[in-house]
Amino acid sequence: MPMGTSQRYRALTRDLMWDPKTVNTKKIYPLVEAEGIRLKDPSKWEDPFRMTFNQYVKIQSEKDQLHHAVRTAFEANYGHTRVIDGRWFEGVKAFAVAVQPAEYAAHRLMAYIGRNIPIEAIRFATFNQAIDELRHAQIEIKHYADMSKYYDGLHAYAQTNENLWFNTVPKSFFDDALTAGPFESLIAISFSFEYVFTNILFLPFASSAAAVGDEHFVSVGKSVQSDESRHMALGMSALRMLLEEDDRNVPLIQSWIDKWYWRAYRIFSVISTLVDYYPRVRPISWKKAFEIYVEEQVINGLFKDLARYGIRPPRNFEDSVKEKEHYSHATMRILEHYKHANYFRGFRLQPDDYEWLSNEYPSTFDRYYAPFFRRMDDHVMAVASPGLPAVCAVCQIPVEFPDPDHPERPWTQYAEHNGKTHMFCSPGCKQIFVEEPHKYVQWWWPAESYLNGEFGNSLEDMFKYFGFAPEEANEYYSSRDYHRWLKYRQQLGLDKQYGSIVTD
Amino acid sequence: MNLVWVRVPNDSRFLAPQGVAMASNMTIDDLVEESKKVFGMQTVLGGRLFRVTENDVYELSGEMNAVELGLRNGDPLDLVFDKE
Repeated sequence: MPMGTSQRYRALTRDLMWDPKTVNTKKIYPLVEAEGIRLKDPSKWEDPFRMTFNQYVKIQSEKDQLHHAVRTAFEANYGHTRVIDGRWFEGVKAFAVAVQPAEYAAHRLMAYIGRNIPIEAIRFATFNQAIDELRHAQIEIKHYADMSKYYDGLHAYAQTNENLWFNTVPKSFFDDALTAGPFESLIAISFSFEYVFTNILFLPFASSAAAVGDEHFVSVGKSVQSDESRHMALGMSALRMLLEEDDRNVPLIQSWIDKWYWRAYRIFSVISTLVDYYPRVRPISWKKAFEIYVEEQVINGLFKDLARYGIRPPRNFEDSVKEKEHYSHATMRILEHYKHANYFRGFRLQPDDYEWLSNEYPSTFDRYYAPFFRRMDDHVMAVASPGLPAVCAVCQIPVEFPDPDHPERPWTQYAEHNGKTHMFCSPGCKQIFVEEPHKYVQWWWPAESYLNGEFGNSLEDMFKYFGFAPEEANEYYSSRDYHRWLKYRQQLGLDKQYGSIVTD
Repeated sequence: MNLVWVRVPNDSRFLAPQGVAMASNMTIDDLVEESKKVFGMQTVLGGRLFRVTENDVYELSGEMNAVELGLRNGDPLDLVFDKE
């Protein structure tokens, strides 16, 4: 008699583990007890998708075929010329160094979690996700490969990803998770990153891609997001399993949620500029997206449900709510400060940008941020930073976020450890440091490495180390990429303006 | 080489502290001048440096050097100009 779906799932995923006869189980899984998580009978826990490997391969293969059909058509029709403003691709470059390395790091993390947690269903779900993350990295890189035929910045992509100062931000996040125990990593990535934040990563950015006409990136976003729903389910399900296994797990889980909410939120800072700034047409603001995907769905929805376990909303959640009025502007300000040494460009805001930002952020943009961007009207490099900035000892972002309660003041925080003063961008990052100072005291300063000659002896050497040239940096509308984009459009006749349609 | 992080809190053009190279025998007066160079403020007269800690901000004496004052790599400092 043929097996039913659940029998088949069980046969193909369970009994993959066995009780070792000659080796102590604790030696095989040394990290489980170290974290303090208590497990009674985790074998009853099920992967919510109950997917077998042959089903997984079939579904993913179909997704890839669909996606690559869109990609091929986009490339064949010079889709890059058809976006409404080429500055969009500077945002895609930002995505390339902020998100794509995170996909690969997540692949490693999922493999690490699966290796170290002795629960079959988790191992199988993380195995699938590990492969998903590689697929995401690959389809994203395909987009950059096409862009690289026409535009700056991407021709030494692997080197840039490895060496660029900007990448210390996502790297620090994933290194932090990879050096945590496997259960903490599971909460960090599957819950705090995937469940809480991936909707705000892929949905608004894919909508922006559609609004500006980048059909290839729309397809990347949809294809990736179709896997994210499975990753989110894993995060939710794993969280409930750990909470239900033993009440004594609750304080530990709460401390991980507190930490990783803020860690994940901070690395999404650059995403806020990809929602509010880089697209010339925006379907949604960061503020509204945050209200829908984080405040309503997660905090007012999920965390109300988690209250019965004794879990409360993340410690610094209120800070992130206050910061939604400032986040994208303060982050774009940072990018404009250092655009002369970055591989994706800043840009001079256009009149319609000022109008949209002012309408969406009536209480903050004109008052606190427009004067800064107006300084670029006379000279696009007028706001360039004079030197190399101090960065937060936890998230590695320059310490120049404003205090949302007093936006004219910096939010910079200080803490002493072993007679040394450390700096942080926010109270959230300071609290993370204070709880685990030993983990962060060895953080790396790009500025110190540069001044000590680790990047070479000159600015030229530094750019070689980064994998791009100085002319690939700076401001978009005064760049050669902008002029290339105009020329490509001209060659295809896309620059022509047509008059009104004559009808009967 | 040691670095200190110098911020100009009263100038809205400069938001993040910037790295300033500091030799151990450098006096604070020298460090003020080095900091002014980094910020392109050489023509501005005066300037005082303050050490910033978690719970305190205190002025550094101009004639003493970095070692005498116990300054360390990575210390945050504020560069303040007196209003005329």
